[in-house]
Amino acid sequence: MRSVFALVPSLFFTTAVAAETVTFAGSSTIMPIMEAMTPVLEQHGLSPEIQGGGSSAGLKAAKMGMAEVGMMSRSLTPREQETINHKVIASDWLVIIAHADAPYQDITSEQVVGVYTGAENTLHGEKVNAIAKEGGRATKKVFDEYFKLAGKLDPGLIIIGANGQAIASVAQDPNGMAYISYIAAAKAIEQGEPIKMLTLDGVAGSPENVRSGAYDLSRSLILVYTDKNQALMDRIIAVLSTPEAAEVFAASGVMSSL
Amino acid sequence: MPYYSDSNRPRPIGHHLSITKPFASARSFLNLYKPQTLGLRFVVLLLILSLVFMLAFPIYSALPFFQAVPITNWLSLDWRPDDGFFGFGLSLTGSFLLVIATLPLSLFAGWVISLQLVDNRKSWINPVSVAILEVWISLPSVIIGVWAIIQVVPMVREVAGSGYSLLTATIGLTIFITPTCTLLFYRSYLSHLDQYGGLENSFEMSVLSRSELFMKSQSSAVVGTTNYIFCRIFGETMVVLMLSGNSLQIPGNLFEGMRTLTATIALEMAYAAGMHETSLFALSTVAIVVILIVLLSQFKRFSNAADD
Repeated sequence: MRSVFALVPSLFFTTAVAAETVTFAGSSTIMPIMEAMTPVLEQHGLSPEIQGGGSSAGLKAAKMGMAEVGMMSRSLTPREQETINHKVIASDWLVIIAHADAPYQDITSEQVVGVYTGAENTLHGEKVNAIAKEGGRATKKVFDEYFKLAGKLDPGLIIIGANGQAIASVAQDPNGMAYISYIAAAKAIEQGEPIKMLTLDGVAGSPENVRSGAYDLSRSLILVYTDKNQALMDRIIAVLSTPEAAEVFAASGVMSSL
Repeated sequence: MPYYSDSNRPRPIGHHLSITKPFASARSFLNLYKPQTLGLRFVVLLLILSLVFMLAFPIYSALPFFQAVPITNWLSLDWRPDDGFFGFGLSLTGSFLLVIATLPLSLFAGWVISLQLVDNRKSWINPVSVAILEVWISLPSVIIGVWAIIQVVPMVREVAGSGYSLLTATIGLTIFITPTCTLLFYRSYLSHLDQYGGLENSFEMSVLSRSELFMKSQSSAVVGTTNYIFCRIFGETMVVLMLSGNSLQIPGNLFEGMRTLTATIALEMAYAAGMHETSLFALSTVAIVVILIVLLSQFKRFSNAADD
């Protein structure tokens, strides 16, 4: 009788007994996607532990073995590509946001370049307080490369790193403008923040336009791993290619590349 | 029954454990040196080791930077780490501008408030005010930063600029650091009054005269407070990160954004890679050097206190 009671705790651990713990570390953009993916991963016997810290920290963690998989929201430099393997799992895109009451809905590339190089301070007659991101951040690199702003940025630009503060700042300033990832903007608008996404050259930053290629301001989200974890990585990619995972990607506002 | 008899007489530490027999010399050491002496030396050694370790780590990590990058590069005003320009001048100038703006304001406000507290120390309002100030000191600086984003930034935005500027950072930082200043002056003024209270009362000295008397007689306390507040302002990160705008420029007027040394390190450390990260360690080494130089100005004060 007592031996039967000894088996009772095992009833609570049926999935965990077979689960393998995988640590994902790195980009704060991919973190919420992986957290939403946890149920799908657990169904297939993988138990994820997700940490943030930034793309560069994720690369270092994967290289040094502190995490099995690194999450990065930027592409690897050629030198980094020699030291580690990577797999593109999704692509994310940036949108330019302004206050909900701003009189303009659209912004052209020339106007973006003008505002962010400091050449023009006004847009349709209204003053613009533009917010940028700090150097080294993946979002900034994508933005600068697309608009060819390297080295010409206005030194008087306000630099706010965290998405949350940038959104809060644009929400209180009728003349504010910032560029953030689509996921962050969509979530903020859903929560009722008084901001809106501007259309770039007449093209809205919606998932359909990104899929068709009309909206180009995108970057790829990648997972990095060392050779040691190749088998584990194959399992993870198999899970991420399932239809349930595709639903999670779509709900998170990124476009799956698998 | 006597207090100590043969069976319960005091015995050396570890006498019942045969395993300690080989460590007889250690046991006699512990018996010889009383806990108080041992504790103090141990604590001092621990403090020195932790401080040296904390300072040595960034300096050691920054050595590759100073070997690889020429001094003309990092002594300039050009901070573009993505392109290989690591000019520390920008961040340092921003920090010094902020200190020059905030230090007099906070010291003056702290002094005036502490005088009011001292003059009314018999009334019920004194313990209430001191309690409020102590709570204020214990608030994390993030809370002051968040409050200022909601309240101060829109007000500054209405006047000029985008709201994030040297002025906003000065206001936020002064609000953050004045209670510390106040209580430091308050406590030293109370001890000053033990000696000079009668003098001030009998001559009915004005506020200016009392301030002059305090500064002359307690010059070591004033210098110590100033030094401490300088270090706090120089090292404050969260408030300036949220309020100063972090623009890569030296502000031409009060309403333009600026960048401080601490904000540079905090902003970029998460995303820095390679030489960029090493340059941030080098930046923190420069900060350590600045603080140590300012601390050396207190050397005379420390040696005087030790002689007393």
